[in-house]
Amino acid sequence: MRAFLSLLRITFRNYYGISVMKQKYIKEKRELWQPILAVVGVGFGGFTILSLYYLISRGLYTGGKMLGEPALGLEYALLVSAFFIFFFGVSSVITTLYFTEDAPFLVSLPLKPFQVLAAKFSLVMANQYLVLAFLLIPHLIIFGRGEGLGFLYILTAAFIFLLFPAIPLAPAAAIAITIMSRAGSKRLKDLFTILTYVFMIAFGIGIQFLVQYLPKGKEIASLQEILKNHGALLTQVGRGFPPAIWATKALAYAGTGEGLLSLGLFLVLTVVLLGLMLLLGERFFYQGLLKGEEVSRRRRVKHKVGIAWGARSPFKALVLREHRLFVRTPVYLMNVLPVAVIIPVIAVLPLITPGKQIPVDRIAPFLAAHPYVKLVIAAITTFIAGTLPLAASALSREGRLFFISRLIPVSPKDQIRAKFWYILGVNFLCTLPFFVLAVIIARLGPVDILALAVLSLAATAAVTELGIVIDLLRPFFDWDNPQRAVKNNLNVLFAMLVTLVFLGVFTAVAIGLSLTVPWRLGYLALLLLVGGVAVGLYYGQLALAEKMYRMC
Amino acid sequence: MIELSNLSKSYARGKVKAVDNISLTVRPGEIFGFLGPNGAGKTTTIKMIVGLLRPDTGEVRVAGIDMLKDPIAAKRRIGYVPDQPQVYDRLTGNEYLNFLADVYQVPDDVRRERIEHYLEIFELKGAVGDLVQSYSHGMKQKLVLTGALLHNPPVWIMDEPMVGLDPRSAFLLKDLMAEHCRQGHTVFFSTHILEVAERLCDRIAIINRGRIIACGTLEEIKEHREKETLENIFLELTENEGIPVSLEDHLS
Repeated sequence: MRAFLSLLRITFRNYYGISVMKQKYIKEKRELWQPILAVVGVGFGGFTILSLYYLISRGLYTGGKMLGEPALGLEYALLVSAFFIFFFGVSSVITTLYFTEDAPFLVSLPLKPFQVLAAKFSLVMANQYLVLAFLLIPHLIIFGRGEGLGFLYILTAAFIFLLFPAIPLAPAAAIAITIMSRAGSKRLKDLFTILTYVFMIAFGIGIQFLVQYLPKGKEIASLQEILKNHGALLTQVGRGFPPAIWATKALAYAGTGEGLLSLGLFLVLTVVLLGLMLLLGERFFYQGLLKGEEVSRRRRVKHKVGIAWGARSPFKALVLREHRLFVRTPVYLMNVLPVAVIIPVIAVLPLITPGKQIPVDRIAPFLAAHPYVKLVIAAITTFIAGTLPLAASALSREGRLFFISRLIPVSPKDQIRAKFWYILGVNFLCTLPFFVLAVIIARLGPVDILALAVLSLAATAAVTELGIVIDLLRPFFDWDNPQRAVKNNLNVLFAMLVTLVFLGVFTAVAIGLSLTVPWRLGYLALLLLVGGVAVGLYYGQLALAEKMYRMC
Repeated sequence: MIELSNLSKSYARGKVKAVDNISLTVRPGEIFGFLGPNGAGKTTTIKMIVGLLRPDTGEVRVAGIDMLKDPIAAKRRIGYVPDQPQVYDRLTGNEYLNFLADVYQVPDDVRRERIEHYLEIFELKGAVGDLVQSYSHGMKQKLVLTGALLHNPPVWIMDEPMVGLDPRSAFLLKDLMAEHCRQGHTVFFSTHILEVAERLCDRIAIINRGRIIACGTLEEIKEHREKETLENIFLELTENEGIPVSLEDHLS
């Protein structure tokens, strides 16, 4: 038990970098602004989204109450949570169990497979609490307050909250263990990553479709309408997943015999699922891990003499390295390219949803009368570029291999130059589908298209440079799988916030210009300003590179 | 070829001295062995020579070039093999080598000849088209060795190069080191294998607790000492000089 607890402790410490944070922020008191900014940023974003979700939850509660089933909203929330945790948890389970660098080390320790599995599974569970908190807590609060429930309700709610992720995750882990024990982890890694992202994209677009079909300004009322018309159907769906019903009953009848019975059933199922998963893990978990350590089958690449060893300039070689590592790491690719698809889809949905079409014919005359509004296109493309994670992880993505970049005889300036031009190219390409769609819909003339393209490029360059500067200032090299280089990299969040600030200033200047000078003059002034910022930042990042490459 | 003057490096805000005021000159055409117990400061010194660590004080000159003043020119003259063969997993072997050849500006025909030569020696020809992630530890080590030699560096620096190599590859590596030396180049490597140092090196330095405690040819080191083998001398020089736990932890 002591060994397991110790393993659990180091698993969490290692994953969340607790010791590093303790050393940096508490002992050395360095860069304390980082956690503060992260808490403020995440807190602000979280609060905004939660407020909206709280309103929807209230709507569901009221709708359920009208039908005489006040716990209906809670039951749906549990169902949705289980669905979310299962689908998104599968990828998390696979990554955490099989694709971390400590796997061979752990296998070599005198620990039983189920102990290693349990420690890693606990980590996956812990990671799901944030999602669960978002999806469930508003419903728990609304239901508890609405029904005037007391201490026993809070206790039961806490209990269910802590255990609930195990119910969808244990089967997900069991599936992962079974597949991996047969296929070997390394071969499936990229496939799983791509499938997960494809699913997430499809899910995101699906949600967008659903939102489009709800009448504007009457979203809550229509949700209640859906409950009224399809309540029975949804309840039937719920019947197919009894733990959601047991958890709902345990909460709704907390402290009563029926509540206790439901809680008992919920508990028994949790224990049985966890037990079965651990049993399966004891037998098959290490099989998959060990297969991952085997050297995979060789795939021969035909060498084209003269091309394979063709000499390039160091700049071209560095750009090519960026490109190869980007396109061959599915996590990087799938964090970037879908944006090029999703944003245009979201933009085009309001135009094609039956009965809700925006009168496209009126856009061109409107823009002719209000030319400054065209800048919205440039603002959106800049926003898209600013949210892409490539710039803000320009150095971080090199991870522990960053020493190679410090070793090669190419100046940091040239290295950053190569990164910048490559990332700018990718970022601009990702904004292009939206840009093309927007200029087609707005029926802009060639002069306007060229003008907006130049402005978009300059603004994209500026936000790309801001991202690189952020990553130069605080590179994150200590990751053990590429997912963490972009997903757990706060620089990406900081870059988004800085992009929003940049766009705020851009908008303020544009509004100011629109009130004082004609469109063409205003456009030129704005282009000069954005271009000036981009050029300044370009040289700024190069100067900073010289300093930071030595310090890292 | 390599000149270290009063080189020092501390960690934990000066509390732990990893390298303590060392001075050393390694001449052209010389194989130089750098020995020392774990945590003695070998890797820290090597990292300062190749420009991966900035010394607190002192100077590093490689082929007459100051590493701090002109790092790019100095690095161009170094071929470095780190203690762990870390390579981009998602590149193929030939892409990795080509990348290095590009950044070290090795002409097309020269690189092709050298790459083929070393791949032949290390028996990597069949695997060079595969992704590095499919390589074993030894194969990665051989790829890194090949990469380090592509630009025929005047100074070849290796940190524990024998680790992970099979006996045949280790033998070939020793041969390559001697060959590199015959061309008038310098080979500087750290090792724990004292027999290798004894048989291969023209001169040896022993570092302990960040200080050079012996330096010279094997004969010079043996002089005035009763012990006959390098192993005995090494043990005599380094015994009772336990590494402080804090330093060892820090370096690990």
